[in-house]
Amino acid sequence: MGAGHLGEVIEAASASFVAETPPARLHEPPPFGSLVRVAGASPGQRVYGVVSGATTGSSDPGRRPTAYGLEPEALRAQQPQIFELLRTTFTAAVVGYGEGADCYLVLPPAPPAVHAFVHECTAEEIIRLTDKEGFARVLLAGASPVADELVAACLRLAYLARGKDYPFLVRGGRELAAALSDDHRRLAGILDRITPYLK
Amino acid sequence: MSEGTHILGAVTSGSLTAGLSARLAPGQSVEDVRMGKFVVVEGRTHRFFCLITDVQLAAANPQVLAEPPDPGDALTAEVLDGTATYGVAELAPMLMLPRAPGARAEPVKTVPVHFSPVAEAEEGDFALIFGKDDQTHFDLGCPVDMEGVPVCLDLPRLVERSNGVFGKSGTGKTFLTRLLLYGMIKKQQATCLVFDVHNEYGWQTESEDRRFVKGLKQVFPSRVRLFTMDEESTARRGVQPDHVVTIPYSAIEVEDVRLLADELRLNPTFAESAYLLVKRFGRTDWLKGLLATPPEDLKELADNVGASPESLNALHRKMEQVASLSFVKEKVTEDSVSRIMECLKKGYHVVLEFGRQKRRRLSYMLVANILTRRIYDQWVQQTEQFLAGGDKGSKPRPLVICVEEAHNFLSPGAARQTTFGDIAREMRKYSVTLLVVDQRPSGIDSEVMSQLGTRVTALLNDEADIAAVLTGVSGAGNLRSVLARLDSKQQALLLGHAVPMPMVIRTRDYESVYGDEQPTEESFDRMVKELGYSA
Repeated sequence: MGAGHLGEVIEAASASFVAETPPARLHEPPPFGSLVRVAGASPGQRVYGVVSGATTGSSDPGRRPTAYGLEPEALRAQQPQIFELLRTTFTAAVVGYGEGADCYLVLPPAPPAVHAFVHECTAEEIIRLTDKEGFARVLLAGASPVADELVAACLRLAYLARGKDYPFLVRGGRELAAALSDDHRRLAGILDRITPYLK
Repeated sequence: MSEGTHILGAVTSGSLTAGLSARLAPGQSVEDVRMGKFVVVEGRTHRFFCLITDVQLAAANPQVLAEPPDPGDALTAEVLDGTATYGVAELAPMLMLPRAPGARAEPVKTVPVHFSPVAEAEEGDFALIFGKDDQTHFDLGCPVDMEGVPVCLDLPRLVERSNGVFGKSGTGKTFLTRLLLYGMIKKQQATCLVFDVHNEYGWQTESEDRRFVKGLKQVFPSRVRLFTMDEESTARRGVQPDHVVTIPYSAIEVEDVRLLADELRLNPTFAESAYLLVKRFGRTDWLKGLLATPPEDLKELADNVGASPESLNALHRKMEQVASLSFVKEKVTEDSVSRIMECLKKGYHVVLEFGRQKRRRLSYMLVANILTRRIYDQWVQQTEQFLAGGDKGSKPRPLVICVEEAHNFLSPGAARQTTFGDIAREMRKYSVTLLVVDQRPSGIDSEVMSQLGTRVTALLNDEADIAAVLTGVSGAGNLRSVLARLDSKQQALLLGHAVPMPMVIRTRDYESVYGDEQPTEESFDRMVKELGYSA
C-alpha cells in the first residue's frame, strides 16, 4: 500500500487538507486543479479534493535553503544532501466524499485521517464527480485567494479528462454564471482562463 | 404532458388581463420561438392553451449587456445564453382545460402557478382544441410551424353567424374564401350564394402564382349552378353557364333603387317621387310606367301623380341608366331571380358571375340587393311558418351569402338601409348569414363588424383596419401584433365563433383538396331530407 501515491496527509480539516509528497516526488506535486482522493476517517469512506496549491521549502522551519549559484545537475552532483532537507507539500480543497458506489458534492462527516495516502482520481471517478450538478459551483465556494484560478484549472483538466467534453464546459460555465449573476466581470475572468486551451 | 414534449421554458410572471411571461429554458433559442405559435402551459390543475404574442431579450445583470462577449468567444456566449442573458416569451392564455378525463376546454379564468412548464403544442393538443376533419369540421390549414397538423373550423358554428374574410389586396382573400366555400359545400353544412364580381369562384381562374385553380362549378358540377350576367364574357372564357341572368323591370323595386342612390347620384328625395309612381302604376310596374313615358310627357306625369317635375325628370334620367344595363330587360321569358331562389330552396349552391359588366358596381349592387331582399322575405317567412307549426320539416336550411367588396353594402351609411345590414344584424335567427369579403374592414359599419362570428384575416397593415377586425374581441391588444406580422401569402389568423381560440395558420393548398372524396348523390339526398328541404 502506498505505492504510486501522490502524497501523505500531514494536516487535515473539514474543508481542506495538506499532504506531503514522497521524497521521490520532490518538486512534483499533483497538477493545480486536479482531483485527488484520500481515504476518509471511517472505513469505506473516500474524501475528494481538488489540488488548490503546492509549496516546496525546507523541512525544518528554522532553516531556509541557501542559493548556490549552480545548474541543477551540478548542484545535485556536488550537494546531494541538501535535497534531503527539502519537501514538497500540496493543499487540496475538499469538494465532496464518497461511500460505496455513491458520491456527494458536500463536505464529509469527518476530515481524512492524518498519514492517509493521497491518490490521483481515476477517470471513472472524475466523470462521476464532474457529472454531478453543481460541481462548478462547489469549486467557487472555497474562500481560496486563487479561487478563480482554481475553478478555471479544475474545469480545464476535467474537460480534458472527459475527452474534450465541450458540453461539460458549457454546463459548468452556466453554473458559474448563475452563481455569479451579480459579478459578470469575475465570470468573464474565469472563462477567459479556459478559452485559450480550447484551440 | 407526454415524454417527448419539447419544453420551451417556465412561466415566471403575468396576470389574467395582461398575459403571462415565460422565461425560456437555457439552450432554447429565441429565434425558434415565433409570434403566433400555439403553446401549452402545464399548470398544476389545468392545462392552459396560449398564443405567443411577443418575444423579448432580457439580461439578469445589466453589466453583461455593457460588456458583450467577443464575437469569437463561443464558450462565453454559450455560457451566458440562458443564464445571464435569456429570452422571454409573452403568452396570451386563450383556453384552459381541467386535468380530468372528459373535461372540456373553457375560457381562461385564472393563471397557471409559478414556474409551470411551457411546452410546444403537439398534434394531440390541436385535435383536442380544433377537432378533426370530419363531417362538421373542415381542415383549413396547418399551424405555421407544424406541417400536416390540421386546424379545423367548426362548420355548424361557422354558418350560425355572419363571418368575414379580410386582408390587404393580394394576400389571398379570394383564395381563403374559395376554400371556405369549398368546405361548406363539401361538408354540406349550408347552401351558398356567391356574388362573383370578379369571375373567380365559378370556373377556373389563374391564381397569383400563375397556376390555374378550379372553380366551384368544376369541383362540384352537380351541386353548383352557375349563373352569368354577361353571357359573352362567360363564353369567351370557355365556360358553359347554367343560366343567363335577365332581370325584368318588374323585379326592381323602389327599395332596390334606394341602395343605388349614391352610385347614381340620386337626390335623397327621389324615393318620394318613386313611391308616388308606385301608387299610380303598382309595385311591379312603376319602373315600366316611368320609362315608358317619353321625356316630353314627364311634366304631365308629374302633375298627374303629384310629384315635383324636376325630381321626376332626374329619376327618369337615372333609371334610364339602370335600364341600359345589359341584363335589365322590360320583359323576360324567364325570371332569373325566381330561378335563383328556386335553386337555393332546393339546396343547390349558386355562383353568380358578373362577367365584364360596364358598370360593374351598379350591376352588382342592384342584383345583390334584389336577391337578398327576396331571400330575406323568403327565409323569414319560412322560419315563421316553422315556428308556428313546430314542424321540423320546414325549417329553412342555413344559407350563406358571399359578398365581395362588402363595404359597398355595409358601410356605415349603407348598412342601415340595405338588406345586407339587416342580415348581418339579425338574420342569424332565420338561418341566413353573410360571408363578408373585404380589404378595408374599417370601411364597414362597426355594428356589423361586431356581429361577425368568425373572422379569417390575412395580413393587414392599416391600424384602423386591424382595430376594426378586432372589434369585440377580448384580449385584442395581444392579437394586434400577430395580425400585423403575418406573411403576405398563405397565412391567416382565425378567430371567433367557429374556433375555440385564435390561431395563425398556413392555409391549405386549395388544389390539394380536389382529390378529396366528393359527396355522393345519395348523401346529398339524405342531407336534403334531414335538413327538411322542400325538394
